[in-house]
Amino acid sequence: MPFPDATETETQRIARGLHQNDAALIGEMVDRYQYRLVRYLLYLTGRREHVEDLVQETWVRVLTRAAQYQGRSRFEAWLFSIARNLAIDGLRQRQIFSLDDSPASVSNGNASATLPAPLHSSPFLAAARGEDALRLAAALELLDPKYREVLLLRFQEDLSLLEISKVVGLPVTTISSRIHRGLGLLRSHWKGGANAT
Amino acid sequence: MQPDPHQRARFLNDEALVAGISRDDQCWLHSHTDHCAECAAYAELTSRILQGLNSFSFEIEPAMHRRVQNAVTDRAQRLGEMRRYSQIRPWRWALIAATLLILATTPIYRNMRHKQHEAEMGRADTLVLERVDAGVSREIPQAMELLNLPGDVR
Repeated sequence: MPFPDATETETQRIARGLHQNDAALIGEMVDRYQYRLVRYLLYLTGRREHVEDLVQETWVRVLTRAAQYQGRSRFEAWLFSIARNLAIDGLRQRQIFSLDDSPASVSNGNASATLPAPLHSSPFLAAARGEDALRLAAALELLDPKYREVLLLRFQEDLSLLEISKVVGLPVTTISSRIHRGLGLLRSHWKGGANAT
Repeated sequence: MQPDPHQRARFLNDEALVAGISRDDQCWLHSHTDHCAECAAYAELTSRILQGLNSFSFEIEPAMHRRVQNAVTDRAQRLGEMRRYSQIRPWRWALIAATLLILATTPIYRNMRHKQHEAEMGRADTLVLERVDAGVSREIPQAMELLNLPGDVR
């Protein structure tokens, strides 16, 4: 059994624990990343339904695919890419999504699903604290999930454009333009909301 | 054609957040927003939006967290046990194969040893007989010594 190296990085420690099916480390990881995983799935799907199932499936997939994670990149980027694929698979099974790019984009794993607007009990409105956040929540509900997703990954998860491109499976230039466009749309919705009130 | 400075300022404002901009661009942007109220308002609005995003607080039910935690750690333990079992299994098969090999080769080895022993015994018997023959041919009874005279050629 390999012993931990004193110079081992955090990602290498995670990779080693995952390869050994270290239950204690897995528990620690669930505690540490649960909130961020739930938040990512809420931004991606725009709804609370099925989030628990997706979270559980994501962690099980992390365990069963542990060998694929070598600790060379940040764990959260790998975690989100797994969650994303599962969310898209789930949506495909429920047949409530349409493709925003091309039919081939899903089949080759670069899926980018356009999800329907949340039906009720918006997770964003529930999460909003303060006037600005409430206005922003309304704007987020109107925003296409493909923009919501990259805005979250860039500004809340603080992932680099390259990391986001790996999660989403699209070129860096596309990610960059989506973030610019997403910011622009949020500003428009915000101003529209301000004018309406 | 010179680009619109306001458009450039707004693009640089966003690009600074998205991928970062050069020091020269930062200086230019600051000098522009210091004198342009509209672009300063644009930057202020963008900043408010990002602050708003960070202010969201999604609630996770503790019961849900526990359920996920239990399911995942349980699965991790089962996978760990399966992994250990799969590590032991090849060794078990190797041990069985070695035992079978020993059982199968023991009679062959014994047979070989038996044949080897018989051959050695045969060689020893031959040697004894040769020695006896030599002894018999060398020893001449005393009464017949006279007959064995040198130069007696018959």
